[in-house]
Amino acid sequence: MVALAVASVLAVFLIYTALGGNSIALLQPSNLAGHAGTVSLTGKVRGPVTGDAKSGSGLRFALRDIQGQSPLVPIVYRGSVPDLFKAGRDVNLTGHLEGSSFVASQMTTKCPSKYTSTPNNKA
Amino acid sequence: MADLGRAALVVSLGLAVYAACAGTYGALEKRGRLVDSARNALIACFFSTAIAAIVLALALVHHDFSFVYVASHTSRDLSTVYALSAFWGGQEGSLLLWLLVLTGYGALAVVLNRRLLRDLIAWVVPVVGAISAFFAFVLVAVSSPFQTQVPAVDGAGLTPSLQNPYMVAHPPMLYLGYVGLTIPFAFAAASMLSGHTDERWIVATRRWTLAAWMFLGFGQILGSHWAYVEVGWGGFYAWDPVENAALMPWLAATAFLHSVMIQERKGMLRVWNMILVALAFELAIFGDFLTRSGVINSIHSFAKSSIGAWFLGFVIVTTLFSLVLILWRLPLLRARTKLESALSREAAFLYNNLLLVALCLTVLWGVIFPILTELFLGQSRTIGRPYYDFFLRIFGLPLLLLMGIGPLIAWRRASVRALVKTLRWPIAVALVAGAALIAAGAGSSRPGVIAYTFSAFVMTTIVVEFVRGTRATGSVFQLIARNRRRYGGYIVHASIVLLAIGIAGASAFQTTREQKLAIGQSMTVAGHTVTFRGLEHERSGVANETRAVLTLSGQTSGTIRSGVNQYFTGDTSREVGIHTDWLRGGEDTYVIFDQQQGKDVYFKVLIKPLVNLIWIAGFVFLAGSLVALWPDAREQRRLVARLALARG
Repeated sequence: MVALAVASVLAVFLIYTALGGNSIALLQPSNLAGHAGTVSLTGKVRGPVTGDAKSGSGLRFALRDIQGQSPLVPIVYRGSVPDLFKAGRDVNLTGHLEGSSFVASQMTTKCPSKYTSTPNNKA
Repeated sequence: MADLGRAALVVSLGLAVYAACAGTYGALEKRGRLVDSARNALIACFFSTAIAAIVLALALVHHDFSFVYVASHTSRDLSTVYALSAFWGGQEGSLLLWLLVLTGYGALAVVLNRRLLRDLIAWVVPVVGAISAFFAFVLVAVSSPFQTQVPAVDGAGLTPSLQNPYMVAHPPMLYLGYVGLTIPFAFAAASMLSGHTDERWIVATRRWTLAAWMFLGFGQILGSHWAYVEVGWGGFYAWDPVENAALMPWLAATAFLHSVMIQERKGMLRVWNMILVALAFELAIFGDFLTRSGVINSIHSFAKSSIGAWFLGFVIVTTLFSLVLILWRLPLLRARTKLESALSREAAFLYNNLLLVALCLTVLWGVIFPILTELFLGQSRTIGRPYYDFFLRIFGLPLLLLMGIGPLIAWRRASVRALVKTLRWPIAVALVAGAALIAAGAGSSRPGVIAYTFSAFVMTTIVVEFVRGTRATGSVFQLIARNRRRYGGYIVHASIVLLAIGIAGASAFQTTREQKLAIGQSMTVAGHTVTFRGLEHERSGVANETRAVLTLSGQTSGTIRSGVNQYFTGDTSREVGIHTDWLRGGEDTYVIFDQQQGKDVYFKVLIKPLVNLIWIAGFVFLAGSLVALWPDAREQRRLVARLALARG
C-alpha cells in the first residue's frame, strides 16, 4: 500500500515536471514552419555544404525529411562538426528558425549503416 | 553453408516449440517422461542454435560475401577478430547471439537444477522454450542472418569507430546480461505456475541474477569508456535511448537483488519480488525492442523496421502473462510477516527499492516521452539531459546515503540513538570531509559537495565493517571467505561510491574551454596551461593522420597528441588526446581537435577531475560481484538442508 501511494504521487510529479516545460519539440523539415523558439530538427543533409562552422556566417547546407518528399530548409550551423557529417547523412540539430533559415548550434549524427544508434557524435 | 544455417534454425524453432508445448502438457498432467523429453528438446535446441552460430562465424571469418549479412557488415581487409565481432554488429547476427545465449543459459540452468527442483524445472522448461521459440521464429521468418546473394567482390566494411577492442567485448557482455535476466524470470514464472511459491526459486536463481546483473553493469562501464576514449565528445553517458535501454533493466535487477534478501530472511515482499523480476525481464526485452525497432530513434534518424512490431507484441504478451500469473497466485504470495518499524533494516531495503524503481521508471518515462507526446499531444517532444540529471540527483543521492545506513541498521526495530552510535565514525568523517571540501572551494556545486560528503560517509562505514570483521577473524581474506555475499556486497558498494565520486567529479566539477590556437600559442583552463607546439602528418595504410602536439604545464605536465584521421574511404574520425594525472586523483586533461584552419586549430579542452575513478569502479564492481557469486560449499549445504526441511 505504501509502495502504491508513493508510486502514484511520483507518477503525478513526473507527469507534472515532464509536461510543464523543459521539453522541446522534435520536428522534421516538413513540419518546421511556424515554430518559434528552440526545437530539435532531424533530417537528411543535402549539399552543397559551404562555409565554415567556426566563422560568423557559419556552415551552410540544406535539410530535408529523412523519408519522402519535403521542402528543403536552409541551415546555418555554428559549432563543432561531428565526424560523420556529410551530404546524405541523417543529422539532428538543435536551434531555432530565423526568417526562413534554421540557425543551429548543436549537431549530432547517427551512423546510417547500423541498426543501433551507434554512439553518434555529440557536438 | 547458408542452407545448413537456415536448417539448423528451423530445427531450433521446432525444438523450442516442442519444449514449450510438450513441457506445458507434461507439467500439467504430471507426466514425468514428457517433462524429461521437453527438457531434452531444450538442450538439443541449444546445440542446433550453436550449429547455426558456427556457420555464421565461419562465413564471417572466411569473408564469404555470398551471405548478405557478411557483405553488409564486413570487408576483406578486416582482421579476423573484427570480422568475427561483426557477428553482433548487425541486427540478424545479434539476434542469433541472443538465441544462442538464451538456449545455452536455459539448458545449463535446467541441467544444474534438475534433481533439487524437479517440480519447478518441469515449468521452467516450457517458459524458456516459449521465449526461445519467439526468438527462433524471428530469426527464421523475419530477420534471417542466412540470406544469400550473388557473391560480392568486397563487403561494405565496419564503421571505423567500431573497430576497437571495446566493441569486441562490450556488446556480448551486454547480451550475457540482458539474456541472463530471463532465467530468474522463468523460475519465478515456474514457481507461480506450479504453485510452489516458496523461496526456492530465489535461492536457485540468485547466482543467475547476480551474473546477469554483473555482465550488464560491467558491459555498460565498458561502453562508457569506449564512448569516452573513442567517440570523443568528452562525455561518457548521454542518456541516449539505447544507453538507457541497458540502464533500466540493470536498475530493476539491482532492486530485485536487494529485495530478495528480505524475502529469503523474512518472507516479506513476495509479490513485489515477482513484479521486480518480471519488470527486469520486460525491460530487457523492451531494450531489445528500442534498439531494433527504431521507434524512438525514428525521430532521430532511423527508418522504422518491421521487426519492431514483433518485439512490441512480445513485450505486451509477456507482460500480460506475468500480470495474470501474479494476480492468479496472489493468495499464495501473501506476506507472512509485516513491517514492524519504519526505522529498521527491512524498511531501509524497502526505501532502497522504492528509490531504485523510481529512478528506473523516471528513465523509462524519459525514453517513451517522445512516443507519448506524439500519441496524446499530436506533437513529438523530447526531454533532455536536465531532466535526467535532476532525477539522478533526487533519487541517486538518497540512495547513496542509504548504502551506508542500510547494511548497519538493526533488523526489525532500530532506535535513532543506537543508529547514531553505530554510525558515529562515518558521520564524523563525513562532516569533516564536507567542511574540508567547502573550505577547498568545492561549494561551487551543491550536489557535488553532497555527493562527496555522502561518499565519505559510505566509504567509512565499509572500512569500519571490514576493520571490525578482520579483528574478529584475524585476516581480511578469512573474513571475505566466511561470508562472501556480505563482503562481496560491500565491495560492490565501494565500487558504487567510486562511481559516484567519478561522475560527480567529471560532471559537477568539470571545466571546459574552446579556443583557436596558432602554433606556439597557449590557453589556460582551470590552472592548466596547454601549449600548441605543432602539427604532425603521417600516412598509414588506411588513412591520412594529422596530430596536433600539445604540451601541458602548470598544475600538471605532459604531452598530448590530439588529431583527426582522414580515411581513404571518405570517413573522418577525430582521435582525442587524453592525459591522465594519477597524482591528482585520476584527473584527465581531455583535448579535442575540433577544426583546422590553415595552420591554426580550434581546440576544445576539458579538465575532468577524478573521472578515472569511474573505470576503476568498473573493475571493483566486477571483483565484488565475483566474490558474491563464487560457489560456496557452506551455502550449498545450508540450501540442501533447507530444501530437505521444506519437503519434510
